[in-house]
Amino acid sequence: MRCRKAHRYIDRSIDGELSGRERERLERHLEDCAECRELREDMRRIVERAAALETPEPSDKVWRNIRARLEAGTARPAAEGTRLDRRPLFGLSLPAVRLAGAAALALVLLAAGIAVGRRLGRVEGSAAAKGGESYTLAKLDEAERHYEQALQALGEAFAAGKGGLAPQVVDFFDRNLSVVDATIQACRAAVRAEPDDLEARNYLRAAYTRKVTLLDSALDLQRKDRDAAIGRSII
Amino acid sequence: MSAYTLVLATGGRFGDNSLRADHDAFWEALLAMDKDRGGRSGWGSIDRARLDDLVAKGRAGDLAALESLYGMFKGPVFGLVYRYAQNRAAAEDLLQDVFLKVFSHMKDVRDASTFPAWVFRIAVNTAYSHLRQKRVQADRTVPLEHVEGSLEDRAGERVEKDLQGPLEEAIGRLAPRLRSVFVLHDVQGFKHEEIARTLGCAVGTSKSQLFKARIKVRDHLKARGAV
Repeated sequence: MRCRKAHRYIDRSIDGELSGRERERLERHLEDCAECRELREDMRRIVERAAALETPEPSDKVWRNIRARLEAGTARPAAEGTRLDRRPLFGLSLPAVRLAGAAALALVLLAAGIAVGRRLGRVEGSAAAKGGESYTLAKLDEAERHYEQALQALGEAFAAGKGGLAPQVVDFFDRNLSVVDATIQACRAAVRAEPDDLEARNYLRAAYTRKVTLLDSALDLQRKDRDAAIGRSII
Repeated sequence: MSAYTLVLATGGRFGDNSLRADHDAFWEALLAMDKDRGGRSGWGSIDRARLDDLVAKGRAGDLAALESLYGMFKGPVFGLVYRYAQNRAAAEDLLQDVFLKVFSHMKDVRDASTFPAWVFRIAVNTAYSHLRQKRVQADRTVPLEHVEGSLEDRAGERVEKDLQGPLEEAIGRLAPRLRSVFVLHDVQGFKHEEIARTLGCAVGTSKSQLFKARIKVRDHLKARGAV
């Protein structure tokens, strides 16, 4: 028997599927093949350990949520309707989301404007390049205004619901937001110093996006806590 | 034999009565299995008449019956979806989704004997859907580490993977289909016939995928000196 066939036999032997004759053939092969012997031992250990794996029990809030949905007559799963206790990114029905979308669009326009400005610069020299830079900076200001509006709305919503979150969670978000804010400031300074620096613009855009995402996550957590509270009141 | 080894013996499409022939064998095996399962499953003292009764009441919208059905299946279903979600919060979301799908279609259940298999099929499909969504989200988001430095406290990463240990890690790295077969067979104790019905594949396919999964798990553990 070759090792390849022996591997299949080993797999089947683990599940007790070998006939007596097949078992004898496998044993004869194993007498002479240390690698296959090792494979069998490994397989046995893996199967034993897999069978011994334990799964934690789901928390009671799962049933409370299901029951609340059943009682409310809104038992549509997330795949068929709205997510039950998680919104998709930017899934808030807040003006902030629309503002964030507008800000993203403005940044796209900013990138396009810069590309146009650079092309003009190549054709018409340094004067046109300076015009391109001022266009870039004007677009940057516009994009930032949109982002600031979006972030302000999200930030206010987060601040209003802070009391419903555990202190360590609030602390975590506050610290991360301060890191993102510092990143935004650094990237903004870099873009203003070199408006044509594509990398700096990408960093700035990503930092803004990250801040919106973080705030969105915080609001998501607040919303989940509210759901749990609703579930508790039903009980 | 694990407690819910034969749950899927009546597999097939939901509402499909063509598998009635399997019904009696399924219940006989299930009841015999109850004696030696050692409390590993969430089936408790379930019997065929009780499930028939609960499904009938559940169809009529009886909340107590639905809660009992949830209690019967939540353990094994959670064990399955946990291996896809790999963290408790996401796994509980999936569990919730699975049972909302089940309970919102209870009126369509024509034959209670197909109920267990149907629940597991929904669980697998929901888990696959979750993985697809996760991939799409990963494509859309911009990691901050691409911006500058990294967040000072990556608490999110700490809680991301609750299932600990090299074996769980190896399972988590398996392709979805291989993971399904490995979890259902080696972790939860389903038979290949039951897995084939749940996943809609041939028994031989289930066996060959289990072999591949075991080899990949072994490779992973070997690379970490964990086997």
